[in-house]
Amino acid sequence: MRADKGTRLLLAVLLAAAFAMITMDARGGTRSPLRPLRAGGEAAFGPVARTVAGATEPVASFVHGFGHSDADREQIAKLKAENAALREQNETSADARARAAELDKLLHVASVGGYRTVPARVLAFAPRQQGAWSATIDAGTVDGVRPGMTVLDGDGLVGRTVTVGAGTATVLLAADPRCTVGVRTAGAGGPGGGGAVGLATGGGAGELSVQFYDPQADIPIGTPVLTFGSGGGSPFVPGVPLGTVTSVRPTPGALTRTATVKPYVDYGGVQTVGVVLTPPRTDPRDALVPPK
Amino acid sequence: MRLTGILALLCGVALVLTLQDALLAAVRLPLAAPDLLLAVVGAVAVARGPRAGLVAGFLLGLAADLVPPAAHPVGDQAFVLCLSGYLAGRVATAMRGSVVRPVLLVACLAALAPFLYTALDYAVGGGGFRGVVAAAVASAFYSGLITPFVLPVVGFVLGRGESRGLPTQRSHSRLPGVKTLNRRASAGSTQGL
Repeated sequence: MRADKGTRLLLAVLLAAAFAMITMDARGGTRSPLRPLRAGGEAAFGPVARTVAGATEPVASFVHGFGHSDADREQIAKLKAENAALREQNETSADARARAAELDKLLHVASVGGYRTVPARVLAFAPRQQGAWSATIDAGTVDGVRPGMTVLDGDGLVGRTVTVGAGTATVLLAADPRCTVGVRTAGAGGPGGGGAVGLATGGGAGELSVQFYDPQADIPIGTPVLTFGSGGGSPFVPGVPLGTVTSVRPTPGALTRTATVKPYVDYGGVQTVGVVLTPPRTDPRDALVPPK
Repeated sequence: MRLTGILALLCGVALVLTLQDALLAAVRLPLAAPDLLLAVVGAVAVARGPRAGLVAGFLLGLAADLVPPAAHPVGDQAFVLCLSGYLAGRVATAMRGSVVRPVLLVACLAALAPFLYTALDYAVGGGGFRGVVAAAVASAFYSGLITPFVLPVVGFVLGRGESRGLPTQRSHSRLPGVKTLNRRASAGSTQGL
């Protein structure tokens, strides 16, 4: 009975400690006192993540058939090995081709937008059941990446960097509920060169919600939404496409309107990304909106 | 002894985190990812009781909170895994028997975890996310699938600690969880090397 009590006390103490840390970190934002700890974690585990993702293990399963002679078995094993090698070669080249195509698209976006980017590969995604959309990429301080930089790919906005290690960085994806992006709709007119200005928040699976400040603004379905650009280009540079509006409805209890936006980027399957090192000298306006 | 114990514990935690990292990097399943940490914590709790489970959960969770690709508030996973470890230990002491039950237990906890994460997010003023239920079901399925492979490994490692002359205390009356973990980790590191 006494041991039971002790266990419960320990549970209460540890849960309280964990909750205190959560509150401190969530309220502290970028000035959170726990940030150095995380930087340490990135420094220590970044190389591990790189190594682990780099090691591709071809899983070869040899099923030993019954009723074959030794010579037969040998022949089968040889052919199987050959087949596996050929298949691997085939798949590798397909993977390389896909990557080249993605890099090509990224290069196009970077040159049209006037962004100076460094390419990177996504190593791992955080488990999505934890309500967090983040990923590790294989670019870090040695490549010039700093916390608070825009991450994009050939289709549009991916997210922003939060913690950066020597050779890796953690990216908060735009689909994360904690990620907020200033946006505008495409087209000339209002401030920022766009029609309406708003704030996009990630909502998890495949949808973003954008709160538009102007209750009178004309927002037709299918309007492209782009980043407005933060002051000094950090964390978001202007003109990166985010997605298209799929529905608009009034915000309950407020004068603003909320639009649902379907992102251009598939946040569960991003492979090749670019980190924007220098923001463009001039706002690229709507240059990057994909043609319909 | 104490220093080697701490070193071994660190090695054990690093090993589990590396494996989880490899798992996350290698497989990209829809809706959720297999939660190796939860399976390990569940296995420790089933073998050693609630106290070892909650300490293992807290330490592993805190470590996972600090390493990439985590970007949520530090303490999130520590909270959820600590609670999961305790619950797993409490339920496991009530039922002993086939391997199916721990698997179901881990699956249930994996289904509970997304709701806990959402609740924690709301508690600090976050927004929550769509598709919690789908993520919970997928997570329960994936985590349940890997549990049968985790259980014997954790059991074997804990068992090796016992056979080395360390006292067996199934009743976990005086046994602090940290020591249990040390044993698990020390055996784990020698196994890894």
